[in-house]
Amino acid sequence: MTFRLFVTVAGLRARWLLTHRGDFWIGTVVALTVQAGLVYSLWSSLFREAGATTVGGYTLREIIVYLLMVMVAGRVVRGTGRTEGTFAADIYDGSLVHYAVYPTHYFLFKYAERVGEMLPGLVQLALLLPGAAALGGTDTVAAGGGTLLGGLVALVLANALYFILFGPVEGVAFWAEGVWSLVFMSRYVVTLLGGGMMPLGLFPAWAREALYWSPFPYLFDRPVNLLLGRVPVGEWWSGCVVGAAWVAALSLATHLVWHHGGRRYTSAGA
Amino acid sequence: MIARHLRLYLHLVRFSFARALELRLDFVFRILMDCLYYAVQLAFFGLLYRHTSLLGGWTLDQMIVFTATFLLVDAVNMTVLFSNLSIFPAVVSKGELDPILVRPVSALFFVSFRDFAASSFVNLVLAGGLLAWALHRYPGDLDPARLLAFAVVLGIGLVVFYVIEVSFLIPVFWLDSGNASWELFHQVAKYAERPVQIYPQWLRRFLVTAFPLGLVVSLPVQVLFEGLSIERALHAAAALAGSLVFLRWFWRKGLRAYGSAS
Repeated sequence: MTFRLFVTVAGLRARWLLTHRGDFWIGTVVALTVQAGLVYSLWSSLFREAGATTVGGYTLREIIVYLLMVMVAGRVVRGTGRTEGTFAADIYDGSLVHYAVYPTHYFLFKYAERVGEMLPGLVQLALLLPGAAALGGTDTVAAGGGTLLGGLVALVLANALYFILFGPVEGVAFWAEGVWSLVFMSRYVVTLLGGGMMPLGLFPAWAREALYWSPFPYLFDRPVNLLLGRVPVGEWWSGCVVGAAWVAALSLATHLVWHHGGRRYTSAGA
Repeated sequence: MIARHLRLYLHLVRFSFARALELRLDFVFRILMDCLYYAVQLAFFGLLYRHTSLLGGWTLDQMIVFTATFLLVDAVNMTVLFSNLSIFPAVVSKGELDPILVRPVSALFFVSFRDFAASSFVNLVLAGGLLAWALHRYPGDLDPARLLAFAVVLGIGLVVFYVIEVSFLIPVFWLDSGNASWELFHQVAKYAERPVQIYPQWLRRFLVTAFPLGLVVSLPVQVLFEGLSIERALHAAAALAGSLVFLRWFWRKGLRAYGSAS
């Protein structure tokens, strides 16, 4: 796939998503408002009853900012269009055969679309980030240009990691009559272990150590904490290496599953 | 009339089971999915209680009962309602309500209950088992009278939840698409997943009166732990009656706006 084709596909996808701008922004604002109410109520209740000023290294303000940022950053990581389930849908409805005649590799084409889906989320993040970083940044690491760049790189890596994570899972569609349950299972695990429900700092130490070597922290917890200026540059580098290694490993797993699944795939019409 | 609807419902359940068991692997996956969902919900509160002994005035044991009750409500929704209500906007926009309206049964009953998600039924049983386990391990006093009151008020909570869910879908009769209101429902329904006492006073009042999501899970569990007072009994009865009257009015109003495809 040429770079020009990649950019064209990503741009078309982003333009398609922004066609219904009203829906896009209203949906985000409503979801953010509802989530803000839930997050504030739950965590202020916890801090009040625990009688603590910090929990897991976060103040109440920092946890609320973290969780709202996860919500917006999640739209960058997951994409803002129809995200999970697209590979399986192509298998089931037979449109996978179209890609046999496209001048590009199936997953590169899909990834280009996913990059396009990331762009509207980045716009929303750019609007929210200055205020969030000012509220959420710690005194030990100030949120500045360096951490901002590091956070954006981590988000792009997280987007690629989230994309390829579902490759092997949805490849089961070559053998099973329905995989949406597997997709949802993966999403639950990813959301909890990736820091989508609470910062990983609240997990027990042994769990944090184990999770460091998994792909999950590099989806939500690490990129958001980087953007909020809570992670030093040294940790950023090591996290990127682990995250990139997982992208490579999951790409190999996807290739193996799809190679074997593709051999038994039949489709009527094109 | 009730007997006729009940007989029809039993037939619909039988057909649903036959259909679901054609896809056995998907059947198994759905069970695993819901088991994992339950584990994640319990793990979430388990992690929170590492940092506090109380949340909303409740201990971890009480929160486990609350969570298990919410998961049971969710399982009932997924088994009985979700697969029907999720396609309701498409049914209306494509004019597929026409053949339903001419049947000699309530159209609202038919669109709400015609499909029974047989694969979720196993999870309903699991959720019931989880609640039984939570109640069994609860160290406090739970006498049979309180358990009966809990069951009755939970039944009322389920009806209120159904009314709220359908009320978010009825606007499809006026709008081009029901997707926005359906998405909005799923966002605001999250307020039922947390004990109502964690919310600020003004929001708590709103969630137990005008928008009674707080009555779905929180009220039954409060009745279980604190007993059924006259005030709570009247509150539940008023919520039930008010919800059903509102639904009947809103549904009829929506039907009057329905433009048939025939």
